[in-house]
Amino acid sequence: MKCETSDRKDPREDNDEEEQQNLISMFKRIHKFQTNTEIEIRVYQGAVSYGNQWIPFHQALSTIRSTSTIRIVSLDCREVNDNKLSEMDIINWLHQGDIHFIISHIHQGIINVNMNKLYTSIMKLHDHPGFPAGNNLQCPVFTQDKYKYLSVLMSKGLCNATLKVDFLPTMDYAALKLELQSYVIISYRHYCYCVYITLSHFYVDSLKKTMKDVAG
Amino acid sequence: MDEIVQKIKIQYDDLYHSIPYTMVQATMENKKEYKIVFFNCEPRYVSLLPNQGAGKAFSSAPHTDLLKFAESALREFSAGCPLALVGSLMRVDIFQTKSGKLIVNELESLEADHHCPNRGIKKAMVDDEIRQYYETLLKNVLHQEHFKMI
Repeated sequence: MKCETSDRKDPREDNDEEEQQNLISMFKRIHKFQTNTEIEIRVYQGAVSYGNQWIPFHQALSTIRSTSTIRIVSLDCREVNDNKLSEMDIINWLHQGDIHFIISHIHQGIINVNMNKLYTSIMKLHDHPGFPAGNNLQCPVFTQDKYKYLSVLMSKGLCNATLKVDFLPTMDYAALKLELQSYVIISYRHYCYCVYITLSHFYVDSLKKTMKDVAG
Repeated sequence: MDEIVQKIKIQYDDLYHSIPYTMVQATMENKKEYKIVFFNCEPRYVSLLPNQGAGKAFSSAPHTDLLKFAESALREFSAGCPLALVGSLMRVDIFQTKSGKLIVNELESLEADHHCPNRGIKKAMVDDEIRQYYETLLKNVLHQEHFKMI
């Protein structure tokens, strides 16, 4: 596995550098077109123990390999953690290949990931050949933005009422308590008997109480 | 109520720099959950996972109503979110409320466990469809203008 590392830095720091990288990447692809050299596919595979997409993806690759000159390089979350790669490092690594493939949820298994930074940075792959690309990079199931996809279903009455609590620089817990009170009363009337807090993107942390107790 | 606020405070202190929000959700009295496996928005089978919540069954084979609900939920999601990637493996997880209403608990795609009864034949078929999906994607990408010589 080839894994290029770079120093951690804020992705917003240098737009010129990004533009330059885009041009270099485009030049490399045109050059390969002219010389018919090897095409490099960079794959973010996620978990170290292969995920659900690994076998079908590699079976598909083996078919393609017999007809094209391609090289596969992959990166998993352990390598990200061991090399202390930043969110932008991962995206740059994918971008520096000729083609990118992301066959797992990128943030899973990564220590100290910043979800906002990661899924803002990922838009750099918008016009890069690969999968996903374009606006599909913002698919809320792909990014595991649970509230975002549930809100589509919520508007049709197809899922449980859910209260989103944004993590703001300053939290107003008194206002949150009031919001929670109205949520619990509505939920008790329409749904079921207890409440849990679910932490989007990572794990479910439950706090089981009867709605009656919580509503007080 | 204070206990919930306290929990959120702890989450906030631990994870403010990692995640943008948390959620509060009413959970189900009946923990039984059915996981419907889809390929290209078409329901294929009801998955059986070892960690599937125990509870009172609310559907039985051939799960006609369940599959119909899951299909319509995924269709609504796809229509309401046109940028969503729904063309390959998807899993729609379903609960039932105490009033008997079916609701979606979760949608999964890339990392959707999709174990299957009947010695895994249906799973193997879905895996082959995923392989074909990737094969088409790879061919399409390699046939883009800058790779045309290949």
